[in-house]
Amino acid sequence: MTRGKRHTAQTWQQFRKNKPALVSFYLLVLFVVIALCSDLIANRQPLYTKYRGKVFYPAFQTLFHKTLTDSTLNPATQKYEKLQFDITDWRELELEKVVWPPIPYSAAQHDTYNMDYAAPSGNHVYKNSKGEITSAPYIFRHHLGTNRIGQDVAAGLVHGTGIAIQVGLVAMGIAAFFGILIGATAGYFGDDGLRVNRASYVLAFPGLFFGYFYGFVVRKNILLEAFDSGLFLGVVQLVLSLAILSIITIGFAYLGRFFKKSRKVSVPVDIFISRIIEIFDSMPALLLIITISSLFVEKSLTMVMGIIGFLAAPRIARLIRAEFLRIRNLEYVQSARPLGMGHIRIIFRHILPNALAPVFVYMAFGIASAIIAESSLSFLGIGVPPETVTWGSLISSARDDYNAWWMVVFPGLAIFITVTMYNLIGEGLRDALDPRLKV
Amino acid sequence: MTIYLIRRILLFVPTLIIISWVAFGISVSAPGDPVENMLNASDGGSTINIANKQALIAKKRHELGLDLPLFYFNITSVADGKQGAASWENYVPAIHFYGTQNQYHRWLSHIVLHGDFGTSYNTQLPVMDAIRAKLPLSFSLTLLSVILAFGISIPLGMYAARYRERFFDKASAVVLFMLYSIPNFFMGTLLLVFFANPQFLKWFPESGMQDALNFDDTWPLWIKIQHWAPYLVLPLVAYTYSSVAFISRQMKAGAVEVFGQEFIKAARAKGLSENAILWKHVFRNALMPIITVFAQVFPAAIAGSVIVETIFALPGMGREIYQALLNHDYPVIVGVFTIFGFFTLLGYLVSDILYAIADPRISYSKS
Repeated sequence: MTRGKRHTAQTWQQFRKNKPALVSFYLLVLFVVIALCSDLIANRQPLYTKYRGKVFYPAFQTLFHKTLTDSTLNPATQKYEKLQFDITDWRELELEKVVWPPIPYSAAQHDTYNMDYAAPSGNHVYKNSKGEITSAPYIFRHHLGTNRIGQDVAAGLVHGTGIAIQVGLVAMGIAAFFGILIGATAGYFGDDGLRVNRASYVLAFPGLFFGYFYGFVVRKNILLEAFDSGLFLGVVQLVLSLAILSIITIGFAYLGRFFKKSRKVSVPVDIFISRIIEIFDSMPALLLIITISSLFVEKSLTMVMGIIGFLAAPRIARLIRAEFLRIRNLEYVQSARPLGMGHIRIIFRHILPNALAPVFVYMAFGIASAIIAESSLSFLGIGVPPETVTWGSLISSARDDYNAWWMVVFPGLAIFITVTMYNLIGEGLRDALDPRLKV
Repeated sequence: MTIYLIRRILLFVPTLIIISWVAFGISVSAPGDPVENMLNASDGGSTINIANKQALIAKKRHELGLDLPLFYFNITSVADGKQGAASWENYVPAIHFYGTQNQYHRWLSHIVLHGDFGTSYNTQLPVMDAIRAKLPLSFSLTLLSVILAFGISIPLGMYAARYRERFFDKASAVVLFMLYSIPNFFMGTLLLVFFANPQFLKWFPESGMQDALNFDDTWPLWIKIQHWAPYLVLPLVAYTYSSVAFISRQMKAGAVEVFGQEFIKAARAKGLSENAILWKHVFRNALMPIITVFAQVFPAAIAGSVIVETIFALPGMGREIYQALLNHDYPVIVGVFTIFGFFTLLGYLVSDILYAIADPRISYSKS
């Protein structure tokens, strides 16, 4: 364990020497903070306010309860008036004290007074507490402008930060999970590592057939219903079906053990998996994403992240496979089997930690391209639901009026900075983890 | 070498088959019934009475082969399609073989033998006609962009390697790295906003291929090209810049490696000028890895065409698939996807073969 810690510390030391990468890393931390606090940075409700002698923290109070309602006593009529926090326009109330968030607009909010592309330097108006529409003070200005339906660009940027980071991480998480599983199997067993009875080998095929039948044909309606009621439930049922498939296949192969006289043969695991990886690796990814997303009537971000992730998995599988093929021939692994360790333990405890370096490097670059892919889809209006505000969809709303340069420049810069940041982190990681550059 | 080529071509076939499965899968699982979509599009679905419509649908289904089984074989339970089956029959598998009388076989043979992708729901015209009309533009744009990218980035990479660690190298590295991180839809929109907009600079026409009022179909080709040129400048920039960034980085890396080798020292020692070394010795040896880059540039250009053609309203394949997506015109989506997929795989195949010819080590190391 101490050795592992020392290695991490050493990598961090190396990484720190690369200044652009280090700056990018701190920037990433900042972006994560912005994403986590997005509802406190850009919100139409005040952070703190005093109204009719009563103190509220609307932005905080609605974090977990969106439609929180409270009431105040109107001194003129002596009646209680209801305040539903998220639909109240606090600007129209006579607040005694107020602290606004840095951007006093929510991402999805339509500012009806500043519609039709209010320029950052243009004339902005708001409705004050006396019900007059007057020129907006500095705090209520849209510093980065608005779009056609009056959404604040700055608020959209803050809200989009979380989505961009989430897309990158989730897509690459999915890719890493499947990529590592597939690549490790191919690399660990190779073409000669898995020796079984010929009977087991032969029996696995009918096993596969029955596994497919009981996992997918019998459960067909269950699967379809699960996918109809939600992506998450669908995936759970899919994993269950895959589990049934593998249990039945392994069960059939296990029966082969009773044929004591059967000769031992090697299963060409690597050839089989490598061919599949190559096939999926040469698929035109973006085109595939666009085409597949056309099938889904209900658009969802989860689906986009899932497809991007699945299509990146072969790359990671390829990297992991190459590392495993190298490491499995090292002495410490060769001696682990005679010591009585199981395959699973050797794969996950002894080889995997040493094989992860290229995967981390790829993931940094992969997150950058996942963010580009998602924003391209949002830009085209395919994939994400129309009411979700992302960086790509902000740029896309400039296509109706090219004079609105702020709709292009600011979200574009946000994407550009994020992508550059991940690319620089990737380069830094590669330099830090590549043993050839170490002294 | 021969073995490598055969293996590489053998890999091409299953990949193509999988592309065809994906395309077929999309056309089968597309929302809505194809026959009803077709009828609704042709007459608004109102003029025919219900009974006639049912008969018409059944007839049309038979014509299109939609009443056939989906694939060559199918695994079901014994109970499937049987009246009053016992519950245990649900758990007994049955395999059915259908031979070539199935939808997939029919679909594929129509494409391979007749180039027939069906008819578009929207225009009621054969999908192949639309593809044939749009393919030349997309293809020439892609080709032009690839040629342009190599033409710019090879000298760029070479000079960066020659003046390594000097100002030119460092400045170009930073600029190219930044260009590489700009998504092409952002670049395209940015170009339109600032260079085709009366509010800023109106250097280029904002969209389309030609001026509808002035364009004359009887013009000789070179006048047509003159007319098209200003329309294509911005799309080409949006198409090319990221490949330039990518290729010149690769080129520089290759050239730097060659510069470090012994025979360059020998060339210097015998008094060859630095320029002669650069172009005679380094260039030839550094060119090889660039060939594989072709494999990565080509599919990227194809995917990029969807975005670039949409932004600049160019009537090519990329815009065609985008419009079809918005209209849920599935025959067109499947057709364009299949053609694009085919060309992408062909691009990979050709560049792998070129690479194997240029660098024999590849074909030996992989066996």
